[in-house]
Amino acid sequence: MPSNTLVFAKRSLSLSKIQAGVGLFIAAFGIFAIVAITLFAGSSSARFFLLPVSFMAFGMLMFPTPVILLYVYDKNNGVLEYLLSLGWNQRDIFRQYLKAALFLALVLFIAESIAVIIAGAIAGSQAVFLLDLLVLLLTAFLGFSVVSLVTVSMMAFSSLQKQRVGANSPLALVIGVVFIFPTFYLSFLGFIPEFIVELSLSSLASALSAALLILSSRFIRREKMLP
Amino acid sequence: MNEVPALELNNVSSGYNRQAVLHDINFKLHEPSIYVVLGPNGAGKTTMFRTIAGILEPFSGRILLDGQNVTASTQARTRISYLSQYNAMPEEMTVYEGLKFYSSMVGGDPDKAIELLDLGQLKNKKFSDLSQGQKKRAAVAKVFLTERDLYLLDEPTANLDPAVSKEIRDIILKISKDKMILYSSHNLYEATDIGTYLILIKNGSITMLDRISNIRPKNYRVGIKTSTDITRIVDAKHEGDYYILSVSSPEEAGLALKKIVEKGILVTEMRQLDNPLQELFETPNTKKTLENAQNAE
Repeated sequence: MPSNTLVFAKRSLSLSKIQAGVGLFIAAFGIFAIVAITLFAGSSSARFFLLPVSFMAFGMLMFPTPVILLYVYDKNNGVLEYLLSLGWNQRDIFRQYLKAALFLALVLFIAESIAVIIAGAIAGSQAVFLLDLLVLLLTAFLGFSVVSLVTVSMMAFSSLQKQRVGANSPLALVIGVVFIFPTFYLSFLGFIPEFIVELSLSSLASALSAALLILSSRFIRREKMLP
Repeated sequence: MNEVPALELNNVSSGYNRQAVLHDINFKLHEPSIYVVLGPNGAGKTTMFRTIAGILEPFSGRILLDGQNVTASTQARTRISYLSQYNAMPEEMTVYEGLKFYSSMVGGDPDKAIELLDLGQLKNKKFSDLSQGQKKRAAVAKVFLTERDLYLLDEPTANLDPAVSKEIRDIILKISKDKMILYSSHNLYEATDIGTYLILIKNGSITMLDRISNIRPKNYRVGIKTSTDITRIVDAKHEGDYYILSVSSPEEAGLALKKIVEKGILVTEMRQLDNPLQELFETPNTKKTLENAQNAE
């Protein structure tokens, strides 16, 4: 199965740019927060150091949303049916769209990383720089695992492909919100508990998405991909 | 000529959400030809195509292409080309980009497919901007990106104007000389026009598989246009522009024509009014296998 990650990513963005725009805005807010904390508050504000993780991971969740819209669109106009006829199986198809979603999330994460690293370097303190790197590590883990879970679960369960009460995005996005939203309040618990909870949520999301992907060709029927 | 593969369906049952649509389908095809799959809406034509293409896994039975199990073997599936009723082209791409998108997966040259379907003027137009007929032509082009052994064409001319339908049928006829083509339709005239064999499907079962030329209706209605009244010469009724003869065979119609001409009457037109396949939709059929049909020849 040849890789068409870039093609699928481009197709997604040409289909819908609103969600990607919202993702960029939220990520920019996260970058602003970390830069402000890094440059003006220093390591004394460590309690709030992980708050930007929530914003940046949420941005990473929203930015690739057009990929899941593309999946529904391709299902409805028969592209998925045709891919199955070319010899692809359910897992091949899942992987293709997942790779496109992760690619877009990666693009945003690289932009976030550059901004955060520059801010950390300007701050000059080694402790702050290390905290910034920890923020990026946690953002990557939470962001990519939630993007994977949302994308794979939406493809696996057709009920999550629906767009409810005038919403512009498929229902599956709620799963990502459920994972990320609580992290906005975790700063009140303190740095270490917040770190542990975010790590746990990320691990859970990764495990669930990997399990769904591995089991997809055995347990998810092909007719779910037909128009 | 390429060696023609054998397609074999053994006790195949298939459907959706554990509900069987096809029931114990059995047949073997090994002659390069166009096999028209005919049946009313909901009979199971599309389900059969999807199952042969490997899109649906059969509940039971096996589909073999030259002995290779289509469901289990990706390699066997890459020898089959499937055109669904949906266009399956990325709407946001141009025709050329769409064909290139698929050629990156299956190989082939988009330019050749564009030339074959005469899409030169449309190649840089967005798929979403094309008319229904143009979209269908572009969708058909993707099926011919690479040469395959078996083509499954599910109503390729549905909703197309007669000129475009004919163009597509001509292309299919051209490639059918050394390929096996299963062509679904519920248009009886199209079936007799393009097909050599008929596979009749009703309620998920094959009720007939035979050469179309072997299918003889019980009654022929023949319309004759003449310069004068012929009702005193042959047993005919005058309806509209035609004198209608009801006969039991084409030979009987020929004898009637001879009688009319011998009386010095000018015959300007004579044609069969009903499609020979019409009766198949109306009366229950006995099962007839391809082997029987070929033995009868």
